[in-house]
Amino acid sequence: MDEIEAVLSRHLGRAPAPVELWSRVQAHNECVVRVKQQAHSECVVRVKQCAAANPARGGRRSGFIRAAWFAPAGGLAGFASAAAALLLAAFYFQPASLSSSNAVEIRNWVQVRAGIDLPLRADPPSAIRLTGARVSHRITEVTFEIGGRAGVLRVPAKATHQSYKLACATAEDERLACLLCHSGGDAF
Amino acid sequence: MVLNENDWEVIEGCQQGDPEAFAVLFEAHRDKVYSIALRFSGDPATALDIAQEVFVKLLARIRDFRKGARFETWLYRVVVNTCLDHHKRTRRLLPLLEEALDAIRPGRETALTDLLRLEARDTVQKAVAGLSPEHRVVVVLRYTEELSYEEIAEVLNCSRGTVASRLNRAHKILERKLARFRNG
Repeated sequence: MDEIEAVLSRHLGRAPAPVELWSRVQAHNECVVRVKQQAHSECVVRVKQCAAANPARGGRRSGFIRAAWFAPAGGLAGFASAAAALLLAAFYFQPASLSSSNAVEIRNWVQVRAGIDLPLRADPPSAIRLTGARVSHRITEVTFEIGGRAGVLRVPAKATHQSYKLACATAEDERLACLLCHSGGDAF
Repeated sequence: MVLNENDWEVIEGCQQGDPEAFAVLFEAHRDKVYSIALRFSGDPATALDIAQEVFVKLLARIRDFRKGARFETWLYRVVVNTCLDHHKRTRRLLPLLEEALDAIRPGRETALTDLLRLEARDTVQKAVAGLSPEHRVVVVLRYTEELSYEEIAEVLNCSRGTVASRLNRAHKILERKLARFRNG
């Protein structure tokens, strides 16, 4: 029995994973993100359609969903529509991220994902390099680099008034990061 | 193995959807996951499929992982269950595997000739692939991951005695299958 154990120990050791494993996993995850984005778009369309059918309830997104859930317009069809909107909304609030250096793309993506219109300048100073954005149910983040140092602009999802918080490596970076949204004249 | 503080940061990052944290987790465990899949399936292409599935599941389920639990045990369970699921899905292909195993069964002159041409690892790998899934899993966790009987029992959620019994049975089967190889 010792002999068979020795044979098995010798021949069943670890093997290095092929390099392509990472690209396969990544490709799958990107596919999932695309599906989520599509689901979100459908959700937004659905919410807008329902809001149009229920103008009295359509003022606020969360208020609308709550109202539509308890008193759906259009009977069973309306109820199913509201349930679908809720399911899609739950799906949509999963965290997602975008890698991009394009301010317009990031602004549009955040608007679609989080419903927040970040006043990012289309042409931020060349010293600031945007790297992407991330949205979860709690917070929206825009990431950037200044001189190779990472920085982040955070917007809490549940803030009563939209508030922005900058986190940078240095105070100077923080001052410069204001130019992500403000022009030079009104930055400081 | 209980994770240290840095590992927890990585897992928490994954739970919050941080792609960089997931990349770190992937790097730390890719060889382990792939090796188990390879030793279980006996086929590199199948192992790649299984490993991919494991990491996709890992990403989807990591929010369920709670601090204080043993990450490695949790990971092993995901890998083992994925291997077993894959085996169930591809069960109909087993006759082909049986044909391959015929090549290393004793008593056939042509098989012996084939056997001599096979690399040692290939031979052992195929013999292991011919075990039943429950025996195979125990063998892989024991010899690829070098887990103790207790650790295997924890991963498989069974008793130490069950692990010992399955391993003993697997040894006997493999000993018989590999007899010619060992003597040659």
